[in-house]
Parts: sequence; structure tokens; C-alpha cells
Amino acid sequence: MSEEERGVCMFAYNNDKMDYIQFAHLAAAYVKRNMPNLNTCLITDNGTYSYLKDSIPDKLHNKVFDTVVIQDVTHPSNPRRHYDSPWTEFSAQFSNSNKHEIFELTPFERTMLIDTDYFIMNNDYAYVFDSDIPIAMHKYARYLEHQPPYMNEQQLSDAGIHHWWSTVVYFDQSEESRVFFDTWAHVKDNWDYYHLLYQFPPGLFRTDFCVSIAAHILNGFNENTFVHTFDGMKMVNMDQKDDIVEIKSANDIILLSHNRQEQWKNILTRYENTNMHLMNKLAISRNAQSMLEKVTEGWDVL
Amino acid sequence: MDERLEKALEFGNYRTTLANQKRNVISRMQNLQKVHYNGGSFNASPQTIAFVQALISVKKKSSVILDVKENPIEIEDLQDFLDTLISAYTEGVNEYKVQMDKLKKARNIKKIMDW
Repeated sequence: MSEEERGVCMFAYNNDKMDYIQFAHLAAAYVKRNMPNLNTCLITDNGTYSYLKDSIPDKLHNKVFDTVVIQDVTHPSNPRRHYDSPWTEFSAQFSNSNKHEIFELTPFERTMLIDTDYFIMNNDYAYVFDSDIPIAMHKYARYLEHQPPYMNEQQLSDAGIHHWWSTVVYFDQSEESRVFFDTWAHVKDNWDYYHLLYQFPPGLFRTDFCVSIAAHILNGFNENTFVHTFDGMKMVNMDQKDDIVEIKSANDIILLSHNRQEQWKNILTRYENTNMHLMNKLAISRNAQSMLEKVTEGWDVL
Repeated sequence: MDERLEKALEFGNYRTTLANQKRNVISRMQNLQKVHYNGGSFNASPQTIAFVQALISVKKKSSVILDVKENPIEIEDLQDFLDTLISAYTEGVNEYKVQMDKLKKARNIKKIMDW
């Protein structure tokens, strides 16, 4: 298989609070820096693409994205509560209703779909592109001080099924993958039924819950091995209540970790060459320029 | 604030930060020591390395070895597999040593952060 057939895709739809196009370019630059053999594809809509043309330098865009797929979608209202440190909270539209369509939209034979707040800072995922694994996602995660995820990020409900993360979804074009994405679509289309069956709050549409249910169904309503877990590798999450302190270099970042059990405790923590899920979006915005300068060093694109 | 208390709090903060950094470094080493070979997943642990070396020492050239998920993986070239394991093991512990040496020398938070 040629390298052109392997790539990373990401969806980006701006809202009035967050510049997902900026995040996408950052995330794609990290892919190009740390997994340079992979192609990249941006999936967006016409409105966001027009904004991209005005806000992102052409040289940068052309360097970090090989392909752009434009698909106009009407996203249903899906307001999500966000934090920026423990002391600021706000609500913003969460446009994720067409994420399962990636199976059709991807231009690649082997694809890794990542969220735009996920930053590839090493090549730990390289092996999966050389494997026969049809579907892979993170089943396990941790926060900056090695704390376990929140309860609703471990199980869908008390005594419920295991939670899977849709932040990173690797897949090929096999029949197994197609069935997985079809099941995801089915769960989305029958959200009211599945929230009752799996006993989770229906308010916010979460693709994590869709993939968790799809994995559960396809595993024969059991814990099983249909979905590869990246060898149990834990995804490292920066909580929305944490903050970015400094970008030392492209793959070296200092963060302030907020202790949610003992809220008066905040400690500095430093991560090098570790893939990071930076969930505090406004912290990314505040540090975007610094991140961009470091990750594009030597590229002459700014 | 009483200077003694201020220093005690500063030191406590440093120890917490240091402990977290050590866990980060160990976690990175463990990821570096994961080996994917012929469709199987292995840890480049001393046990795995010693076992493969034991097979080679009894003149085995190939073998079926169980990976971390108990899948039987056919290894056609044990020597190549051993080399891969040792390479991953060495890369992991070398990185661990470099990072731990830096942490050992860092006697306060500013040093840990290179400030």
C-alpha cells in the first residue's frame, strides 16, 4: 500500500466561541511534524472554509493539509458546557452529528480520525497503519496527574458498559469497519432509545457514547476484542479545568494541572513527546501562536 | 507568612511535581518498549528478551510465541525479533535514564520546568 493511501482526517466546523479551523491547522501541523509519512485531510463546510481562506495563510494551509473535503451539513442544536480553568464556564455548539460519515468521506484506505484538540507528539500510532487491524480506539485514558477519567468517562452509567473514546478512531475500508460505522449511525439515529437502554443522560449528543455502544453490540454485547485498544495505551487528557502554561518546543509542553478532589491544589506538569488531548479549547487559543511557531519551525510557512 | 511554613509548602509542592514527572517518564518508557511484530503485540521486557534468547540458545531459528493478549504469533526469525526487542528495550531505558538524570539534578520546580 502506498503512503498516499494512509492519512489522518479531522472535522472542523467553527462556532461563535471557538476557532476549530485554527485548531485543525495546529493539529495537522503536529501530524506533519511527528508522522510525516501520513497525509492529512480536512473535512469542513463552505462557511468555515471561507473563514479559513481569510484567516489562515495559504502557505501554512498547503503545507499541513493535502486534501480538503467540503460537505455542507445542518447540525442540530447540541450545546455543550465548557470550562476554561475551574473559574470560567461557557456554553458552545458542539457540531459532531456527521462524524460517523468519515467512512465514506475519507480519501484514504487506512485512516486515523482525530479531534482537532488532539495533538500527535510522537509516532506511537505508526504501527497500526502497517497492521491488519480494522478498527482501533482508545478504551483507557488518564488525566495529567495520572488520575482516572471521570466516572461517566469510564462507564456510560453506574454498572454500565465500558466507555470508549472517539477522539482517535483508526479504521480501514474493510467490511468490519463498515459495519462499525453503520452501527454508529444507527445508534445516533435512535439516540432516544439507546439512552434509555444504556441509561445515560440524553441531553448532549456524544460520539463517545455512540462508539461505546457500537463496540458493545459488535462484541456480542460483551467486553471483547473486536475493537483494538492501541494495546491499552492510555490517552493523556488535559482537563478543561487545566491550563497551558508554556510551549517549550513543539513536543514539550508545560501545563497547570487542577486537582479536582482537592481543588486548592494546582501543580505544574511537563510532557515531552506525548500525544495530548488538550480539552481546554480556550487554552489552545491563547497559546495557538506559540504552538504554531514551534511546530512549524524551519518550514517557512508563517 | 512564616518563612519556615513558606519553605515547607514550596518543598511539598516540589515533591508532588517531581513525583508526577517521574510517573510521566515511566509511562513514556513503557510506551517506547511496546513492540509490534508480525501482527503481535509484545513488551520488550527483560523476561521476553531472556525467553527469546533462551530459544535461540537451544538452536531454535523460529518459534510460536504468545503475545501480551495470548495470541500465538509465529516468529520466523528469532534473531531479528530479539534484535527488535533489545532495540526497543534500550531506547526506552536510555530515554528513562536521560530524563531521570535531569530530574535528579532538578532541586526545585523551576529547574524541572527549565525556567
